[in-house]
Amino acid sequence: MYVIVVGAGEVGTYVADRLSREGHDVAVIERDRAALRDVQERLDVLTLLGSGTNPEVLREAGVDRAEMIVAVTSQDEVNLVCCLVGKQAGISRTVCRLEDPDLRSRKSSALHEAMGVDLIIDPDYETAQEILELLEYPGASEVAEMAGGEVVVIGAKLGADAPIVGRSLIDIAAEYEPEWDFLFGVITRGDETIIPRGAVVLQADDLVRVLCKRRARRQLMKILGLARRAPRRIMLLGGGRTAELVASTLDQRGSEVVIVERNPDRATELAGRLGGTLVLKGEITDADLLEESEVGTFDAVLALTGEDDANILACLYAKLAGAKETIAVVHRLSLLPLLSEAGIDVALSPRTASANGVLRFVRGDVSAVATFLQGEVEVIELEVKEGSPADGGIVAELRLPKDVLVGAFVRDGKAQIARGRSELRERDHVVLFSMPGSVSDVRRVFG
Amino acid sequence: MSTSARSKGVGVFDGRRDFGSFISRGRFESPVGFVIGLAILACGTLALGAALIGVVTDGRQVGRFLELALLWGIVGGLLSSQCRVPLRLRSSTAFVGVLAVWLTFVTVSVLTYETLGTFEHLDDSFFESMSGFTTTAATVVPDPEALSRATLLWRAGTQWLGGLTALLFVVAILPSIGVGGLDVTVAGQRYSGTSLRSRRTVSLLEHLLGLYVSLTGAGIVLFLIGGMGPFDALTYAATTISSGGFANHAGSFGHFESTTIEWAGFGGMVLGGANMALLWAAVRGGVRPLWRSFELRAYLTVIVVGGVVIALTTAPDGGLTHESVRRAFFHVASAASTTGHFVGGWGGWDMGPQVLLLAIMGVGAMSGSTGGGFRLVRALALVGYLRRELVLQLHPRAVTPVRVGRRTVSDELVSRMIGYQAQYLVVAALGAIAVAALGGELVTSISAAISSVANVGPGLADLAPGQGGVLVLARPARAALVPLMLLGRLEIAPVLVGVAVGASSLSRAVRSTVVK
Amino acid sequence: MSALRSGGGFSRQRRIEAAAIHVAGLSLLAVAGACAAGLAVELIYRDDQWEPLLLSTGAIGALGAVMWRTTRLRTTGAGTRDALQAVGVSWLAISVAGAVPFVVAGVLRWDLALFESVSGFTGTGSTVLSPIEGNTHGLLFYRQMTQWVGGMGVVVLAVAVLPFLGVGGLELFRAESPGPTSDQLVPRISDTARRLWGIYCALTAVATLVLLAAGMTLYDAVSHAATGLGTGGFSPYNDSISHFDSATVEAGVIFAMFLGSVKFPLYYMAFKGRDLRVFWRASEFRFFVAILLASTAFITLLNRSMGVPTALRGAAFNVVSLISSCGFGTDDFTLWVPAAQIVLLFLMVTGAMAGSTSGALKLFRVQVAGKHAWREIKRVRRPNGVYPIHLGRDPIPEDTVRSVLGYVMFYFVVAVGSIVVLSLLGADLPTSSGSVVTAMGGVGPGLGVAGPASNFLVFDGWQRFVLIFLMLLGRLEIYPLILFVLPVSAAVRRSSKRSRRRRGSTDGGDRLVRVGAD
Repeated sequence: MYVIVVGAGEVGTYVADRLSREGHDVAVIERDRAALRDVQERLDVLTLLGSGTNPEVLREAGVDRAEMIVAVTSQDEVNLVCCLVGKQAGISRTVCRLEDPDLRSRKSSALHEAMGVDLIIDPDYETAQEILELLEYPGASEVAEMAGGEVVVIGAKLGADAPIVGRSLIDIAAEYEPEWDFLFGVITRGDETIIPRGAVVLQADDLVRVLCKRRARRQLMKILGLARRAPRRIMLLGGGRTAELVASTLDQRGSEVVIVERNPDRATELAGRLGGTLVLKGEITDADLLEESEVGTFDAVLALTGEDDANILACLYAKLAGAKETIAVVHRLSLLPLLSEAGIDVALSPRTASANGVLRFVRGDVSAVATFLQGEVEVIELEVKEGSPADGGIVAELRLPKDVLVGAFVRDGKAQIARGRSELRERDHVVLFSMPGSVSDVRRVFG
Repeated sequence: MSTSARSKGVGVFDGRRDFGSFISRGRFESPVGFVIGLAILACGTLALGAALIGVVTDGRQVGRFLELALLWGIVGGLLSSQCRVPLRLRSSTAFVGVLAVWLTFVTVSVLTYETLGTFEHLDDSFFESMSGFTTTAATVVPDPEALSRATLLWRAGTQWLGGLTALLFVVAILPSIGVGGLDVTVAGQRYSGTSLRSRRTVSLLEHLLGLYVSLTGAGIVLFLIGGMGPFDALTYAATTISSGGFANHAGSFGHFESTTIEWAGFGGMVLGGANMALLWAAVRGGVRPLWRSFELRAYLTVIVVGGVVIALTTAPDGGLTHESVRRAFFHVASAASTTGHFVGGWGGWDMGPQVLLLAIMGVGAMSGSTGGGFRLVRALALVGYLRRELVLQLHPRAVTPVRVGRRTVSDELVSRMIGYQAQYLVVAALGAIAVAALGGELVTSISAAISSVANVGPGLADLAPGQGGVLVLARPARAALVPLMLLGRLEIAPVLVGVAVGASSLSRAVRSTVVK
Repeated sequence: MSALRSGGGFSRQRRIEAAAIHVAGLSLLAVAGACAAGLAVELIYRDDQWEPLLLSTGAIGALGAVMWRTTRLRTTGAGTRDALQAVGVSWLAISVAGAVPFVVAGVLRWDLALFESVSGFTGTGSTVLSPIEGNTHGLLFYRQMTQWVGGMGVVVLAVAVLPFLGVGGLELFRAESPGPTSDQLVPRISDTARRLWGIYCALTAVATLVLLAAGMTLYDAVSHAATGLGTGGFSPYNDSISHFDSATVEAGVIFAMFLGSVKFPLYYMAFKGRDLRVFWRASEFRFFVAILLASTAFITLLNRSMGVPTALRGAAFNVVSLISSCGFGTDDFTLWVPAAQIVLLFLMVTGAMAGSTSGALKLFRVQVAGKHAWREIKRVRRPNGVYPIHLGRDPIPEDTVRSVLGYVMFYFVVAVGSIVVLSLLGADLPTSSGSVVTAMGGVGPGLGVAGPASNFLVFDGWQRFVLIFLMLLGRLEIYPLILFVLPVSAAVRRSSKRSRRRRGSTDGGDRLVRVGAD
C-alpha cells in the first residue's frame, strides 16, 4: 500500500516507520526541515518538504498512487484539511489526528464526513486507555486485550521470586495439561527477542509476553509472581489531557486520585472539572511536595507529563519512597531499558498507542493489533475467512512463516489456546504473534 | 563583526578632524576626487625624491623628474584641496575610491614612463606600472642596469607606495566592509590594544605608516651592513619590505653574490610577508603576541618546511651545500611573501620543487601584510572548514565551529572566505586560458596566471626568473596579466563593485547633465 | 533493537554480523558476473583462453558467495559509519578481485593489474594494458564490463538486490552514488536503486542499437555502449574510437557518452510523466548543454588552423568525452594549442551532471560554487543583502550549499596536494596536473606525456599507486575513502569528542539516542 504521512512528529515518524517496515511504501510530508532530515536519515521513506495541505506537494508525494493519508500534525485544523485535500485527490482512506474533544465527539460527525475523515486517532486518549488497562493488571508492564477482551496478552518482567523462574516451558506446560489457559508467546532476554520452544528455561529478568484467556488472568498473574490487589490510591503526576481522562474514569470507579499539576490555571481548571479528585499545585519533581503528600503510601504513581526526565525522576523518587507501582510515560523509546533497570515498573509511550490504531486501520480486515515497546513483535487478531487455507486447517500444517506463532483462537465468543493439533474454522478469530514483515503472509493464509 | 562600521558608513577618513581645515576647505564634496588628488600628490613626492636621488647619483633624467614632480604636485594639490570628504561615506564610495587610487597610480606612472621614454610600447609602460603598484615583480625591463638611477628609484618607489597603500587600504579598510573574509585576521589583533577593527583612526594608519617606514629603514641598514651601496640598499629595501620584487639588476639578489645580503634579503622578505599589525603589537607589547599568533606560526612553518623539502629535492649530487640550502630558503621566502626576488632562479630545478613553489605562491603571505596571494589565514580557515566537513560526515548534527588556531571563525566569515576562494580560482583559471589563448605555453600560462593573481611575478619553466621572465610571453599575453594583478591586489570583489558603482554613478551624472 | 527469531532458544547466531563483508561479498558476485560475461564472449569467439576467465569467475564467485552467506547485516540497519565502512571494504575487495583475471591470464603484473582494475571499476579508463589488441576477446570484454558495473556502482547494485536493507541502504546508497543529492525516486531506497539500474540497462541497450546503426559490429557496439554509458572509456582497440575512423561512429559514441552524463532521475521523470521537457527544465541540464556548446565552439576557434571541420569534429568529440569523464580518444589533444588543453583540463574538473555515471566535481556543485562566489561579490556591495542560491525554481538550502562548497574545496585541496606530490615524484606539471585531474575525475587520458595517444605506463610504481588512490577517492567522492582508510577518522572522532565534551554533550547525546531508537 502507498501511504502518505503528514507531520513528522513523534506519532508520524513512528507510524511511518512501522508501515515502512511492514512493506508499505511511505511518503512523509513535513514543514520543518530539521525534523524532515531526521526522518530522511532514519527511515526508508520518501520525504517532502512542505505543507500537507498544498496540492502541489501532495502531487509530488504521489497522491495519485496513494491509498491512504495519515494526517498527524499537532494542529487539528491542518489535519482536517489534509484529509479533505487527500480525499478530493482520490485517496480512499484517511486518518486524522484530532485532539479537541469537541471535534472528536459524535456531535462533529457531520464535519468528519464533510472533511472525508475515516478514522480519528488521539494519542492522549489512547494513552489513557492503555493506562487504565495496565492498572487492572498491577505488576504487568504491558497489557493488550484482544478479541473483545476474551484474550489478554500480558507482558511482564519476571522477578527472581516468581514461581516459574528456573523451569522450562515443557515443564510448565506439562503441569497444566490437558487444558491450557495461557501460552508463552515471546521472550525478550537482553537484546534478543525470540518465539520460544519448549526447551527454553525461564530466567529472572526475562521479559515474557504471555497470552491467556480472560478468566485465567488472575492465575497467570500469580504464576508470574505478580498477584497484587488492584490499586485503590493513585497519584497522577502532571495534569495533561491524559491525566484528566484517566482521573475521571478512575474517579467513577471509586478510586482515590491525586493529581499534581505545575500550571496553577490548569490546576484550577482540573479541580473544577474533576469533583472527587484532589489537585495539588506544584512541580512533580519537587521532593518536598511529594513527601508532603505521602507519595509512598500510594498504590500507583503515574508520571504523565511531556518531559521524560521529569517523569523518570518523579517515578524513581516515588519508588524509593515506597510506592507499590510506578508508571512513567516516556517519549524516547531508547530510554526504556534504563527504566526497568532503575526499578520503574512500567513505561509506556503515546506513540505506540496511537500507532496501533493506525496499523489496525491499514490492515483493514485485521480486528486488533498490539505492539510492544521492546522488540518489533506485534500481536494481531484476524478472522479466518471462508475458503481460506486456514479454514478447516490444522494449525501445525498451515504454511506460516517461521516468525509467526498462533496463540489462540476465539470461536463463538469462547477463547481457546491454540495447539499444533487445533483445527481452525471460518469466522474463528485468531490471535497470533508475528513480525511486521510477515503480516502479509499471515493474511494470505487466513484469507 | 563590523556592523558598527557598516551602519555608520565606512569612513575612509573618519578622523576628519585630524585633517582639519585641509579637507573642509574644498568646494566640491567628492571623496573620490580627494583621494585621487592625494594619490597624485604622493606620486609627485615620489618623483621629487627620484629627482633628488638622481642629482646625487648619476644625474640622468633629473630635469624630467623635476618637471613631473611639479606637474603632479600642482594637479594633485589642486584636486585634493578643491574636494572635500563628507562626514559619512557609503561603503560603495569607498570601493570606488580604492579602485580610483590604483587606477590613478597606474595612469600617473604610465604617463611618467612615457614622458621618460623608458619603454618602446605603451602596453609595456602599462604593464610595468601595474606590476609596480600591485607589488608584483613581473618586469618588462630586460636590463634594469641600463636605466637611469632616478627611473630605478621611481620604479622601486611605485612598489613601495603600492605596498603602503595596500597596507592602509586593503588591510585597514577593505576587511571592514566585508571583503573576502579577512576580518579573521584583523579580529585577531584584539590583544594589541590598537585594534584595526575597533576604531580605524588616522592615528592607527600613522602607526602602520611609521612601522612600514621603520621596517624599510631597518632593511636599508641591514643591506648596507651586508655590503650594498646606499642606492641599492634603498631601492632593494623598498621593494623587499613592500614584497614587491623589482630589482636594480637583472640577477636580482644574485647580482651581489654575497651570503650576508642574501640572508638579509631573506629576512626582509619574511618580514614583508608578515602581518604588520601583529608586528606593531609586538613592538608595543613584546613578543607574546607573536607567539600566540597561529597564522605567524603557520607562516614560519610553511617557510621552514617548504625550505627543507625544496632544499632536499634540489640538492646537487654531492648532497646539501650551503648554497643550495640558502637558495631554497630564499626562494621559498620569496614565494611565501609573494615578493619575487631571486638568487639564480629556479628555472634549473626539477618540476617538483617548482610546483611546490607555485603552490606556496598561491597560498601567499599573511593577512595584514603587503604581500598578496590567497593569504595564509584564509588557507588555515579553509583547513578548519574541511576538518569540520569530515566531522560532519560522521556526525551530521555536530555543531563545531571553524577554528583558526584557538579562535573560532563565524560562519559568515567562512562563507565569504570560501566565496573568495572560488572567485580566486575562477580568476586564475580564466587568466590561464586567456594567456594561453594569446600564445602562452601550458606551464607558463598556468603559472603566470597564478603568480600574477598572487602578486608574485615570476612563474615556472620559461617564466622562471633568470630565464627571461614575462618577456618570454607575447605582448598580448602579457597584457592579459595586467587585470589579474589588479584583481589579485584588491581581492577581486572591490574591483568589480568599484567598477559597477563607478559606472552607474558616472552614467547617472552624464544623464543628469544631458537633461540639464 | 532486537530481532525476532523463531523456533529456538537463545542460541548463537548462525551468521556473523558484518555489514561490510556482507555487502562486499555481493559486490564480488558482481565482479564474478562481469568475469562470466567475459567468459561467455571468449567461448563465443573460441579464443581458447577461457581457462583463466573460468578460474577467475569461479574463485571470485566462490569467495563472494562465502562472504555473503556467512555474514549478515546489522538488523537495525547500518549507521553512517557502517555504510562508509561497507563501501570502503567493497571497493577494496572489487579492486583486488578485479585484478585477478589479468594476473591469471598472465597479461599484467599484479600492480599493473590492480591499476587496470581500479581504472576499470572507477570508470576512469586510464590503461596500462599495452598493446590492447593482442588480448583475447573475452578478457577485453571483461575489461569493458568492469566499467559498466562500476559506472552505476556495485554497492547501488547491492542495495537494489538486498531485499530488506531499509534505512542502512540509504546510507550506503549515498556513500557510493555520484553526486551531492541522491534523489529518491520512490519511497523505498532499494526500489530507487533498482529503477536506476533499470534505466542504466535500458540506456545501454539504446546506445548499443545506435552504435550498431552507426556501423559497429555487435561486439564493438556492446563494448563501447557499456563503457560509454558507464562513462569509463576503455576500448578494446589501441586507437580507441579513432580505430573506426568514421564520423558516424564518433557521433554515435558522442550520443552514448551524452546519455551517460545526464542525471538518471531525469530519465525516470521523463519516462513517468511522458514529458521530455523535464530535461530542459533542469537548470543543471541547461548549464551542461551551454558548457558543451561553448567549449566546443571555443576550442574549434582555437584550433581553426587545422581547418574548421576537422577542428569541430575533434572539439565536439573530446569535449563530450572529457566532460562526461568518459575518456574515449580520437585526436591527441596534447598536440592542440595550450589554451584548448587548459579548457579541456577544466572540463575534466567540472564533470557532467550530478546523478549520472560521470565523475569529477559535477556541474551541480560547480553551479552552486559559482553562484556562491558571485553572491559574495554582491554581498560586498550590499552587506545586508540576502541572496539565496537558486537553481531553477527552488532555493537551495544553506546547509546543502555549505556541504557542496566543502566538497568543492576538498576536491581542490586534494587535487593541488596530489599535483605537488606527483610533481615531487618526478612528473612535469602538465603530466602531473593532467593525470591528477583525470584520475580524480575518472576521465582517462591526461595531459603531457600521459595524453590519449600514450598510456599510464609512463608513470612509475609510486606514482601509479598515488593515481590508484586518487581514482578511488574521486569515484567515492572523497569522504568514504578518507574516513575509512586514513587514521584521520580516529583523529576526527577524537577531536569531535573533545569539542562535544566542551559543549556539554548535548548534540552528541541526541545523536546516540536517535541511533538507539532505530
